[in-house]
Amino acid sequence: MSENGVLDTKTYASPYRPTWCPGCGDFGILAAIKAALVDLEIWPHEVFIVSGIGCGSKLPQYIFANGFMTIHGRPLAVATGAKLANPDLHVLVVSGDGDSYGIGGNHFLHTCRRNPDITHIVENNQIYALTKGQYSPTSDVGFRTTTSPDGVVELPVNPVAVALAAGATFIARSYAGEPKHLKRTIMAAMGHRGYALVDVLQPCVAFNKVNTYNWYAERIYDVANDDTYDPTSARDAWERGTEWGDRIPIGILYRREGVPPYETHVPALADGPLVDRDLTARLDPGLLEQLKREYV
Amino acid sequence: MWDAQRFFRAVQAHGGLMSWDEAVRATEETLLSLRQVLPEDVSLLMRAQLPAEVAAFLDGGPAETDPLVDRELFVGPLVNMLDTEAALDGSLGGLDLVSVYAGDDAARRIQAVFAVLKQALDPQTAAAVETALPGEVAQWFHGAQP
Repeated sequence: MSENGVLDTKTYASPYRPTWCPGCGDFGILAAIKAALVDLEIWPHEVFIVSGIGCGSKLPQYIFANGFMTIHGRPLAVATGAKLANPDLHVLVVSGDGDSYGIGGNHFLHTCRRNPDITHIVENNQIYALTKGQYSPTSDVGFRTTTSPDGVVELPVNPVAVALAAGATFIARSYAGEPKHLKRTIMAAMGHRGYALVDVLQPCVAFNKVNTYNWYAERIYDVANDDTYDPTSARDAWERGTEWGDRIPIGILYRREGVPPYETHVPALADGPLVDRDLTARLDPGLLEQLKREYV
Repeated sequence: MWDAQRFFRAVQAHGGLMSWDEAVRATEETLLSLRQVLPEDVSLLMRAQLPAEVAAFLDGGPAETDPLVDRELFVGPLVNMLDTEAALDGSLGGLDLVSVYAGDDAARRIQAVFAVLKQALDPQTAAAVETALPGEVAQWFHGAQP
């Protein structure tokens, strides 16, 4: 808490200094998350930030809030469990493009269709940066890296299209170089009741010399400035979501309200969430001893 | 009014840059960052006082200033253009990362651009630019010696 007891970005200040490269887009994402939480009047004890492995997945250490760094590709699974156990928590997942769309691709698909009320912020820099420059699931065709010396030959994952096809109820894209836009997008995503994907285009200053700040600045445009765009239309979302190259749309690309979140219709939680139950009262000491003999 | 040749030559001299291209690149990326934080009226004042080739780097910025742009995001565009990796790392694979030094290098180049901007702009406009900059970057501008 800030010295004066007021909720502000200092409330979320961590004693740890980020080890990201100077100029890394992750700084913009961190600033936007803090600002969004403050503007939504959410205190650190009310939020749970789950990450995987990668440069950006170090983020929970750099913000003073509940955090959990999971293994590579699994943060969505852990976050879903946390939301089921305590639905009152605001659950955020922060993970990279490799974590989310590569090794965690399976969890991504099933989280889209399950629709738990969690916000997924993907730091999409189109490269594996923590391991020093290998191509990732979102790298463009022809992109040269240490693992694609002749250029990437396969088509990239389009997270917007995949999320739409898999049944996601909120899909947005933002840009780490415009943290004010990102803050607004995160606030909208957190306000959505259900799974919300925020795919964040993020320059990697060290290893991606193609998709740079300059490259994005020349291409991005906000669909919010287009009066003809309807974010409730799956057709519009598909058309803009698959647009990539000379022009790249950002903003809220799709939203479908009124779909009950996963945690509201899981039969095992009919008696209420785990966090509200007195679990110890139901524990049979004999059964506990039996389990200990069997497994310990 | 300065012409573009004089502007870039001055940036090259101030920054001790090896080439003309580096001076142009440092100017372009610094102005790309500036356009994120400058109010429209200050940006217009700047454009009127800079050579057209330099002022063009301020085109196309966001409609509103971004108060969340800090020192790190300000240096980002320039770091993105600098050498940030060395040779192949034979022990672990991947590229040998040297980006930690690129932040200081970018700051030095940005200060070179600031030093020339302070000469090319009238004092009121220069003061308005300094006011609009994020904390540490404003200090760079303040300390830049024309």
